[in-house]
Amino acid sequence: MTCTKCEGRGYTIEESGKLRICICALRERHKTYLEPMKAFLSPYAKSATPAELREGPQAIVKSDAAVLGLMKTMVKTWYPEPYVITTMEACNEAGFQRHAEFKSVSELAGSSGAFVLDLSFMNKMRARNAGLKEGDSMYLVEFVHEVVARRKGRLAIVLDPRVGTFMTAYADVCDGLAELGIEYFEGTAYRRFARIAESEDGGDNGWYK
Amino acid sequence: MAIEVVQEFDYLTAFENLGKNAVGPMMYIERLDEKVRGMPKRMVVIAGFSGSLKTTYALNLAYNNAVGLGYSSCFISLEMEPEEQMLRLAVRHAQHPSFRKYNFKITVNKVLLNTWSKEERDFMEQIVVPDLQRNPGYGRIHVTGPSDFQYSIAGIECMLLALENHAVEVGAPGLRQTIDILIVDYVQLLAKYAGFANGSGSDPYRFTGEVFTYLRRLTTTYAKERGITVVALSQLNRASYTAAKDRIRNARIPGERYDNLFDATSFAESSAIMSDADVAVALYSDDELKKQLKVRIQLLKNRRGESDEKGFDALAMPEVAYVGDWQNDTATDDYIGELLSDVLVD
Repeated sequence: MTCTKCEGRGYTIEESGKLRICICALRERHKTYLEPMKAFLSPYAKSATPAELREGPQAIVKSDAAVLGLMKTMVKTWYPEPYVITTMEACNEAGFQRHAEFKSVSELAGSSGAFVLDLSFMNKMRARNAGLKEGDSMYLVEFVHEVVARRKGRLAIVLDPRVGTFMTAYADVCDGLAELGIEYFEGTAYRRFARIAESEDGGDNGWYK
Repeated sequence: MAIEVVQEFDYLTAFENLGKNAVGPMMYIERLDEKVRGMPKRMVVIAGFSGSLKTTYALNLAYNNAVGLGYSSCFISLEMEPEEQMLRLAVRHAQHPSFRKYNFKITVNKVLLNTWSKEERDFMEQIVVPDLQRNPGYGRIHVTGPSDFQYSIAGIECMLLALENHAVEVGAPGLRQTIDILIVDYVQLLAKYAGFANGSGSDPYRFTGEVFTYLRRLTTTYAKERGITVVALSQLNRASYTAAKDRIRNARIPGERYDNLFDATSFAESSAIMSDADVAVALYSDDELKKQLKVRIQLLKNRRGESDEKGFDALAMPEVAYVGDWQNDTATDDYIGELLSDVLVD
């Protein structure tokens, strides 16, 4: 259907003679921009209502509502900054200099201005192995620090829906994220990641808006 | 220039005239105009690498000053055929607000590749072109090639005066008989042509400084000191190309990757250009910015005010021969809701 605002031109012409890009011209670009994020959605996403997320670096517990909310934030505040979906494994490869393209975590973090860190699937067997976990968390937290603190880039972390198991297995990662001021969105509210000392003491881990 | 003495200067008349004189041709990008505030008898340099939309911006400058303010210009086109520039001007005029009701999208490619429909061609022939050519409110735009000034820089002034005489002969309205802006696209090519013509052609680029000095002098001495605004397009040097690419690639903060791309040393033959220019602007556009319909603009020198070395984005739509202020519709919540539904359906 032809856009009634610009009659299909893709831009509108103001009385002053200036041109303005029409929202219909942005639509296709936005759709292409969001395309990779569809991988995080379930077949039932159509019935979900997008969650209201804040701006800034954050984590979300994977659910259709949260992912749609993240997509909304991305259109509003990230676009047109190109983003990369990366994983814990990629951070490790870069950190241990096994990555085909990036020789350090810093290089990986500098490869884009925006990242979606995909932690939406946790390998339980790997998570039980203390030795592997240490390497994972070391480079993961370093990557997050590099993106958020040093480069002031955009970051969203998508967490496994079994967030409790993730927190137990990767308590040190959660501690690092908490130290960087990153909070996670679960259900309808944001929560703080537990600090290691707080967890040991059974510290405050309360819900708040 | 007449000699003035403080003790005898007519301050009262000068105070009376303040603000009454026209501010002169404008740059037609708000952030530049806020700082430069008109460019009468100024030497303006617009620099950039190939494909950074210098020509499109300069063409817009000539077009906007002609249609919006009635200033006439002469565009010396050394890279493109004058006929092609004329077609681009017609495409640019097709975007005039008075033609919105016709709902045609005329693009440069449609015209140059002759892929337009009969209706589109009729619209151009019967409505756009007659208005562009005969509207008495518009300034005249002359587009010339190297042979028109006999390949000699001294021939430029003769050519401009001849064009003014021609305007009188064809009965152009009084105010449109003079040429207010000279645009040179681009100055290193002019130096090359003029250098070969006067025998110093072995290293034409060393001749660029002389060409600049000549153009600078023209701003005040042209037509018995009536003066003219000169807009000289210029290349940037290779070192600045490498430096800009490195800065973009290795920017520590991604949101700032297009900030401060160039400085005064980025101009080819920088010392001559920077000393002669009143206003120096650098343009940058790469594939990523072009996808976003953006061109990055820095105001590197402004003799009469602030500069803007960090730079800002402007809207670039070369397919309709347009460079102007950055404007786009914003994504409202309703729009995003519809967009997400669309994404889920696809």
